[in-house]
Amino acid sequence: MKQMTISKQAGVAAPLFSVENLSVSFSTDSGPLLALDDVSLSIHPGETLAVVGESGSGKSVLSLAIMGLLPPTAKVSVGHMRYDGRDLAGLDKTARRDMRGKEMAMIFQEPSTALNPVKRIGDQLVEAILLHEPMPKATAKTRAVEALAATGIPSPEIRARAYPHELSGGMRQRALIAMALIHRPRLLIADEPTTALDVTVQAQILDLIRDLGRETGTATIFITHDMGVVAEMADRVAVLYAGRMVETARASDLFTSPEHPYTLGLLGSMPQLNQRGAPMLPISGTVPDLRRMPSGCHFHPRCPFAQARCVEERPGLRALDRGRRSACHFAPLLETLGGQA
Amino acid sequence: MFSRLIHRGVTSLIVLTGVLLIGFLMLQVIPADPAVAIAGPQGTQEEIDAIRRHLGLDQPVLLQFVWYIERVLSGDMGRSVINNASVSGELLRAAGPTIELLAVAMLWAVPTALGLGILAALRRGGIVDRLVMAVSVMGVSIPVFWVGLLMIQFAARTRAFPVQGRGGPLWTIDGLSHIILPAIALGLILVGPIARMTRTTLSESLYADHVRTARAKGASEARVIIHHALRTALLPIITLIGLQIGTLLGGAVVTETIFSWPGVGRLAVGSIIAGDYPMAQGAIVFLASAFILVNITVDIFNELADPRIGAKT
Repeated sequence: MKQMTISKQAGVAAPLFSVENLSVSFSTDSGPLLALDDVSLSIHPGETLAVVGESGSGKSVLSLAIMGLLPPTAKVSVGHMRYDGRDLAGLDKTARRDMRGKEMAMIFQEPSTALNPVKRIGDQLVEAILLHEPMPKATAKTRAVEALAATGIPSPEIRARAYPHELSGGMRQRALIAMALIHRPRLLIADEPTTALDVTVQAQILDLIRDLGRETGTATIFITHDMGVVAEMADRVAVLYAGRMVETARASDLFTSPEHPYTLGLLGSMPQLNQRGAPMLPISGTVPDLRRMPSGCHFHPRCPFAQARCVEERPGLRALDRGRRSACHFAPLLETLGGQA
Repeated sequence: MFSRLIHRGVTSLIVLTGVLLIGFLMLQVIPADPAVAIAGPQGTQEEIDAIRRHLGLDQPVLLQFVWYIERVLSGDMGRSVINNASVSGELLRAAGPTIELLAVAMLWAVPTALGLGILAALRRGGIVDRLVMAVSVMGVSIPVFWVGLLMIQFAARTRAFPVQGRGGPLWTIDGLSHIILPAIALGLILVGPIARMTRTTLSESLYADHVRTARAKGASEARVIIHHALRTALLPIITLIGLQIGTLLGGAVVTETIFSWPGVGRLAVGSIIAGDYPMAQGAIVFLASAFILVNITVDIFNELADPRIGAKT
């Protein structure tokens, strides 16, 4: 299925990173598993793009594919993947590795397991520094402590000598952020960086990522399932469902008028503080098994507006006004389904 | 860490007392009466009673046990019934060759096993992996004495290596050629289990979160494997190697007997067959203490390798 290329945002320069028609599949015992199906996206310098979806929607596979960290068992097919004008798909392994940690960096979901348990925090940062910038070890150590201090870790000299298990979850995540940003990457992927943390710590970490990102002009791909986090962080949003992109729009547009029933469901399942007594509307059902996809529109079994057409015909991603795109037959929803919605 | 070591030391002491008790009781339950043995066939009942009094055998068993511990602590483990040699002296003489044999066996077997395990983990499911696993299963299933006998067959026909006893010091050609066959036979016990453990833990840790972080930093695959994946996979391997040393001590008994290696194992077997109970008792206590000591050492190594262990207590 051919898709239109993403139109550049009016008046904005070329994107820092773009990928088109990215599909990733894994072969399993019960047949091939299509984790990502024909996904295209782009991000501009300084922009924050939120990638939203339930677990199993392919968010993490997307981030690993961008970093070039998919396991060797993954089969990748991609139209093109471009970073700063360079074609990533054509780069050899060594060139791709040199970009990791320097040009593009990643913050992972589980700070408790993402750090090496038997190496001191400082040594792990020093390793990250020396991998891309040869310098005396003592200088690198000073740099590491400075980087820890920049993330607001109290008494960074002491923490640098600590092992990961001696730090709290929030501090570990700060250390990981310090490590990811140490070479001021131009592209940062944050894969659910706050999911494993306490709510109070979550807010601090979000602020930290936003502030440091702004300081360094980093473009951030923020992967999450939390619409509250999206509202806080994102300039633009891409919604993934069962490996396909079902909607993309500017964050403000997405929240005021979502153009896909699934997005509507995601917003409905978010607690509303300002609307007292408004009921939460969870999406019924679960994400389909990626090996046994429903026919037509993958979302139709869970969609409150599904009609006969949705069972038979798979909707493509269509451009709407204001750079919005939706993969629903009935978009724009308000005009088509106004009475029901 | 220190409190843990002390704790470990105290428990080991209890285990050691148990070992001594078993060794001591062994001499109590055997049918032979040392007083009768010493008095000889012509000894009269009075002479026997005198010897009993002299040895303290008429005292309560518990008191005898305390005396026994006292003697062992002062390095006196009795004398051989056969040739009246001091048991501790014989053990000290036999300890050197045994340690030598264990060391050489580990020296080739551990690196080989690690190498095979790493190779298998990196090419999991491939031909190399299957070959390594087949060889390691074979190594586990074939008993040492069988391997030893095959080697003796081979060496006797080709006259490539001496098959009996120990040569000169290890650094001479004579010493080396003597130790090769027993060391290979003994080391084979280790290769299988360590290779399998390496394969399992490493192929898990190759996809661990923190290893992915290392890749995301831009580390080369070799660096990722050596500094991150292998570094964490090493912990269970060290524990296993420590446990295997116990098996190795057992294997040494067989290997030393087959190759007439003048070590503690052969001493134990020889004295049991000859009915030299003080010597057998000494050898068993010695082997058991060695095992306990090895376990403590492994614990310390593990603590050094994994900062998390010390933090748990």
